[in-house]
Amino acid sequence: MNRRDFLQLSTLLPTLGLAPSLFASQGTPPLLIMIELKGGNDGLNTLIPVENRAYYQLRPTLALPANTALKLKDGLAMHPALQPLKPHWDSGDMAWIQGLGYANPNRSHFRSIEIWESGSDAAQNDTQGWIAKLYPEAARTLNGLVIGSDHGPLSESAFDTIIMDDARNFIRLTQQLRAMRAKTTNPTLAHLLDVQNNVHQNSQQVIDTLQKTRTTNTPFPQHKFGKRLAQAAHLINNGLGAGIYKIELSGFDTHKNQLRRQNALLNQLATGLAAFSQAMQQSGQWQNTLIMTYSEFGRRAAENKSGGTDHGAAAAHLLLGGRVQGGIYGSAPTLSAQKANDLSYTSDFRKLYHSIATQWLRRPSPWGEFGAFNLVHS
Amino acid sequence: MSVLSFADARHLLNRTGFGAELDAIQQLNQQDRQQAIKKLLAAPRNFRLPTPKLHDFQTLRAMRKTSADAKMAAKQQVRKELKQIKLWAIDQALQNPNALQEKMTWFWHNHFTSSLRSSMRSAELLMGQTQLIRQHALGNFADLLRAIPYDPLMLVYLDGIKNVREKPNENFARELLELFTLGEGHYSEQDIKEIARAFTGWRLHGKTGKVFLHKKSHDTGTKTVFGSSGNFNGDDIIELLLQHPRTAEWIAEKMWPVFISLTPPDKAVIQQWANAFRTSGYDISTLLQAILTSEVFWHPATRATLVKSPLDLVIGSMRAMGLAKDKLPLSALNLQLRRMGQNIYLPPNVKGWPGGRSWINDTTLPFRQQFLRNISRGMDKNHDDAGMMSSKRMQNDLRIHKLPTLASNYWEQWLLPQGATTETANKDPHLYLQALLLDPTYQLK
Repeated sequence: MNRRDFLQLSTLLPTLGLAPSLFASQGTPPLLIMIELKGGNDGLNTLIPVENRAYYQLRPTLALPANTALKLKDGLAMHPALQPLKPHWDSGDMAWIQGLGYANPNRSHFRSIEIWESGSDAAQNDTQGWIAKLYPEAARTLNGLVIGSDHGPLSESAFDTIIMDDARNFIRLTQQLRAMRAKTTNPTLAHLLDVQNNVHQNSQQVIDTLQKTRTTNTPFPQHKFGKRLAQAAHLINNGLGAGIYKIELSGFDTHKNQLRRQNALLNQLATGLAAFSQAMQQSGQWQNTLIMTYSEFGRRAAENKSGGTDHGAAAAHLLLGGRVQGGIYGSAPTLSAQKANDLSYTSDFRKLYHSIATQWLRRPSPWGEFGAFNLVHS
Repeated sequence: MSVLSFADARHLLNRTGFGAELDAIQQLNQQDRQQAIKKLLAAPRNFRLPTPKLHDFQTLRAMRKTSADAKMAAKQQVRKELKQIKLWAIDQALQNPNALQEKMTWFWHNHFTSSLRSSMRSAELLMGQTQLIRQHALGNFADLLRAIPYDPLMLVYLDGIKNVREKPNENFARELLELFTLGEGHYSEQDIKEIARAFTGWRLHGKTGKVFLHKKSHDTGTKTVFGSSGNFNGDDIIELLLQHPRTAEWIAEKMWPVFISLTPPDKAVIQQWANAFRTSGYDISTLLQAILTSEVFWHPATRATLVKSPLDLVIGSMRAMGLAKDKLPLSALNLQLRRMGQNIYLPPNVKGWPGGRSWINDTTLPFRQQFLRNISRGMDKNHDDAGMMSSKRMQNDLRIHKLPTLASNYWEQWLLPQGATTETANKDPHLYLQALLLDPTYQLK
């Protein structure tokens, strides 16, 4: 079977059912799936303080009525588009962390995502990703995969990463890079050959894995984000061996028409993640999977005059996974109709990073000063 | 007297231009080295393509005030114009006969970094800065340094407009010392604080966008910098920095990985260049002459050890393959540069692109090779379909249409800075040319 046959086969026959035991791969590292909500997701309409009057005053047209939101607890409810994830909340493997942000928030998309992805202070110029910082002496093996446009938390990592917008384009781009065995005394050329051999080897690993056909009978939604998650699930379940994944979902910069746009995006997020978790459960990997969302910032508490919201600061983010200790963490940012400005952060985002580093990835973390949430059970 | 061989001429042009253009090599071949360098530095600097028409500060300001929709439209207009400036700059790099001027323009942009993201008030800010840098690229560094603190884009990018007596902002002062003149380790935190005070009060006029000194926000108190005290203003600080011996050394050190090698600079050589630079009153051509005539520039051990930047690779390949003067899809080249990690006017941070080996990584190398594969796709088999191509496709076609006029047994020497790493021999000239472009050594200079 050649590659084209395979790609066709895998889309025609997505329901080749296999028993979980077949997938139980040995020595799989803990899987961390980072979902970047590009553009700045409005946290206030994602995890909603439905019992807070100020919320309705600040958002006369954008507030989501309490009776349609999905009630959780402590006066909080989820955006109705997140319905596909509600079973996870009910079964206790979904957590929300409120008020994530940092001191002296920056409102530039570009700068603020750099702060989030590098795990640095607002005043610090640092481009190395926070995941890369956790593995300073990692071996050069393939341990990271990005489906999207930039490395983000994986930037400048010691371990190898692959970045692809789409598997088919990736194959086209890399399949012609040959392995090179030449010896040279020119140090610059040696570096170049080294990179080339490495790309060749890693892309071969991805291509080989894509050609394997072990699959679950989970149907994935057909939107772009769903397809990206389907590719990630396929690679994981066929033994790619990488532990860290970054997958992008774009379009959250909702300065106008927020109700319709955020609804569509959160629907993609929820249907995609529900399918992904189902695929991981079928392959026996759900206990080994942790999914987290992040975004450059939340949005302003008060709505603007175009049916949207402008760049803000703190926001809530979610975690999903077989060993996630379900619940709501952190405290809600104060909401006041008088102070219509911003949501101040209540937990530094690095408290989340520290928790994930120490409890999930089992790595020493440089962010101990921010404390930890107890997010993972055994 | 030392005479340039074909390979020497290629080396000189590869490092002072974007890539070795055949006619330029042939002009220098067998010429006296000193004469050739002189000629290179004396080339005319007046090539300018017409610049895109831009909405000015005032018009945009008025637009923003009318309605939310007009505000959005103003934003989109500025974005569009910033993109036009990028394409203009790419075209300028493709077509300017004085390639060294283009190279040095991008060197100084990477030294005095700013970002097009700081130009949202009007694309005029970016255009103003890039013209300023272009004007001085091969001229006088002191003049450029004197102008930079009051350049509108720089004032926005490094928070100069937020730097006021009551609450000094140190961003510009810090980068002025750390990146623009002295380098880390040659000043104190106190120097930064005092220098920030000296530059307080400069603003952009709300209506016109013109730079002016708001006297009430300017600190007229005594400042102590590098041990001397006085009521220094920004101009005084620049003169202090120009008197400081580190400034010429720092610029000389930054030239090393651009022109010589990726190994640490040789201190004696740097000293020699810095002396020439300083005693000339910071004449950039004098510094370049010192660099290009130094033994280390010609030493066999330093040849083929630099990595072509994305601009070198893209612009250089187009120029060398005779594609630069065709009607090119400039936005396709812009996309290529972005994929290869050099989104022009948008450096990763204030330090600019680190360059060197970092140009080649897992992400960029496949794109670099893909670009070269695409432009060199054998046209022999596509000869016929060229006529059938729609004009749109023709316009988007970056492929080489004509084989070089040089006899093919010289191609390797012409295109590669050292012998090929792979088996490139091929009877089909198109496939041979492609094999040379795809050889790893083509990535070097």
